[in-house]
Amino acid sequence: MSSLSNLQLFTLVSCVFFIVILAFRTIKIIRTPLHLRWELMPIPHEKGRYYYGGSRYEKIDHWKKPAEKSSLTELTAMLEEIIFIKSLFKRNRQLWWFSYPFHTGLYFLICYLFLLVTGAIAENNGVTIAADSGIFGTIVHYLTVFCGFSGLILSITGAAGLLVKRMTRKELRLYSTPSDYFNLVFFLIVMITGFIATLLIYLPFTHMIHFMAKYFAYHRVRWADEPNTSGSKVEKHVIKQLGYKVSWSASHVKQGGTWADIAKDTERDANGKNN
Amino acid sequence: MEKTIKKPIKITDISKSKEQLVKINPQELVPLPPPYDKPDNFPKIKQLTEEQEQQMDSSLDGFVLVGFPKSVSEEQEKKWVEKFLSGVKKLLNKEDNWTFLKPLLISLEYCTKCQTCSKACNIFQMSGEKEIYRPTYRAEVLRRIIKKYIKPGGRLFGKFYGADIDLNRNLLARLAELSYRCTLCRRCAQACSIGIDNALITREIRKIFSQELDITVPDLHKLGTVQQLETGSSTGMPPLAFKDNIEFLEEDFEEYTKMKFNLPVNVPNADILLIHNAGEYLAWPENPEAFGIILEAAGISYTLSSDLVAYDSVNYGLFYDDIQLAKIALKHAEIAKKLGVKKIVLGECGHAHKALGVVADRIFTSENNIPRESCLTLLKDIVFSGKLALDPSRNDFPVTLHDPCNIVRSMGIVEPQRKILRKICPKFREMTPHGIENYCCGGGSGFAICKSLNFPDWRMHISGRMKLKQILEAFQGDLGPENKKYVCAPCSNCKGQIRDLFKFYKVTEKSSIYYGGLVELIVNAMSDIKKPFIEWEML
Ligand code: SF4
Ligand code: SF4
Repeated sequence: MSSLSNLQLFTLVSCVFFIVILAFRTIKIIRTPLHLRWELMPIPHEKGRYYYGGSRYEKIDHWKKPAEKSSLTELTAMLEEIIFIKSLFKRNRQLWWFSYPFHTGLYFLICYLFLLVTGAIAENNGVTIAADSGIFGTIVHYLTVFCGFSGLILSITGAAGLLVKRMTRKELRLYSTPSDYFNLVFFLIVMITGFIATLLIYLPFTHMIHFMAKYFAYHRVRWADEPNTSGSKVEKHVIKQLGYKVSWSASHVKQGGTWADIAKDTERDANGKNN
Repeated sequence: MEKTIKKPIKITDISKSKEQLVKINPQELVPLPPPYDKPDNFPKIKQLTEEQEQQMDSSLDGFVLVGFPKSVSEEQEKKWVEKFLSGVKKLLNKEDNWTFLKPLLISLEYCTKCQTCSKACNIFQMSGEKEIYRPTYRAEVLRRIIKKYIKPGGRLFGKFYGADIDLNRNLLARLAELSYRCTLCRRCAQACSIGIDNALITREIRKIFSQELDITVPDLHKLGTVQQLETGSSTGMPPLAFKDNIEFLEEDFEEYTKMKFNLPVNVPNADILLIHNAGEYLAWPENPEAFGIILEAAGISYTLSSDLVAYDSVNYGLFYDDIQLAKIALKHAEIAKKLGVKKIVLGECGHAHKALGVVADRIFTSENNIPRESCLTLLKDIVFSGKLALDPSRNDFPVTLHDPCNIVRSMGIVEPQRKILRKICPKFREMTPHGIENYCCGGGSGFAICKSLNFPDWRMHISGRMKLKQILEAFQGDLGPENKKYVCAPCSNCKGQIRDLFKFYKVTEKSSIYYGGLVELIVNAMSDIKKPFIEWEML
């Protein structure tokens, strides 16, 4: 049994590291309480209404009627974002020309890493991965080369373009911190030197893992239109959260109370305790 | 007046600069279509008096709404800085801010600063791209404060992560004002492919000032939510005056049409509790009157309420304070329960739709969770039910529709109002863009009722500019005074803003463009009412 090469081992460790930090930041969002409703149109699961941005509120007695949802339109909207970054294409074409290859390149690189790990496991179990090995080994070999190569070209082109844009466009430069430049420069160095696994250790600390945040921003905020009905899970959260203690200190806030207490304390406003 | 900064404005200038960050010069703003394209023809921007200048900080852009004190002792500055930081910590804590922590965290941590959102913001665009009005500017200030003062290692790694901002009096004064240079229309949020919501961040900044530092806009807080909870309405109208108003409306209508007319108040167990923005009774009484006519003609069982708070659907808490938001929403629900109605229907008021209809949904529990509905869906049902005899030729004038952000972009009620207009207004035309991609009227987030100091001039020149441009473009080719034209704005705040815009730019005088709600058009088309309901000279 051949042992893992140092590179393979490092790749594996980096992958694990990446997943752990990503999970940590994901959990941080998941653990936040159920917020007040704050949806934003259009909501793609609104059957027959998505195309113009309508919602169930257009129906009379909407609470009496079952939600008419379409998973198909929601899935299509998600895929359009994941595969084409459609919203950026529509609203900021200039940036899309670089952002799109950059992201597509990353997808290829993820496949590349996945194939590397698959290859390592396979080789460890005695299967040869090479151009002239068996069908499995040959496919994995060529796929790895293809994904690695395309990933490199696309992401380097994209990152270089984004870096140039960030440096040359006033509105991007003004808001960029040294770390924003560093992220892209570091990315380019890593890509050019080929030491890709290093990226996995750095990326999860940056905003570059926004694909995860995007999931929550869309599914848990913009499209999160679940009503609060009697006995529902939503109501259970609400009851629990109304019991949280409030420490805001302005004069219109009853001190030491819970949310349920302060929301009923309208006397404070009525008797002029307020400023 | 203070000197204005010359070089491009940086994020750090909000605390560093000793000069005013921006000066608004009407010549530099995006021009309006002719004959409104000559800035010299319109009132000059009101300058603050010397006394006001001495008392209040205007170093952001020369306008004042919050009125942060100009001179502050070192001790007071230290206290405010500490309070602000404690407010930021509370914003990030689940007990104190469960209400918005999730969208806030996402918005704070994952913005890529691509600036796609700036292209969507009417304020930033129409101001001639003034940096401080960029949707990301105020968000970035808050982000940098958090990086430097709250995150571990912030002061150590400082500049690398952009933790380079000094939290001082200048920053607080300017940030307080800056949080009121955005209408919370959420057009920027809609444009962001990641889902970052800069409007939400702006509202969170307002919350720190209100919920922790007691710094608010008097029009929204003292004269708004506090007055509403104290006297019954943000207009200051007590229950007795409300009842008088109702009687006046009944008499007015009977006299005008010689028809019997009744506006039901406090009827127990009616199907619907109808709540209007109380501003309607004072500024546009024809609107609640028209509602009464339609509902009576359609045989709908409904009532108004004269209980404290329940005759005013306004909830300015939506714009700056979660606690005030909750207090008012609970009051509305409590009175509906007491009356034993089946549902609350909200009149033509956009923010009331969003506050009570959507946002407050997760403040209620089984005991007070009463169904809430938009008047627009109900009206659509009535208009298409055949219960009213309607003659569209009575509305034979050009009509365009303004989409209130809170009803449309944030709530998805897009088609009912259009279906009605297509049916009863033969010359209906859309603005560009419209529907969920509409532009705010410029009076959003309470600005329409903010009348203090020189802030109204900012509303007229900057935040309302895009809407006026859109309205004029909708009637392109017909901008002379010959033909009467109508902007339908089914929202009290939007109407207030459009009224002020029309007055400021003399739009009615020059182009015969009038404005009003949706119900007025419906009643105007009712053939049972002999005289036309829309009295142009009264609009
Ligand atoms: S809020 Fe969204 S659109 Fe605006 S800069 Fe950030 S990521 Fe880009
Ligand atoms: S909410 Fe509207 S006004 Fe405010 S920054 Fe966004 S687009 Fe501009």
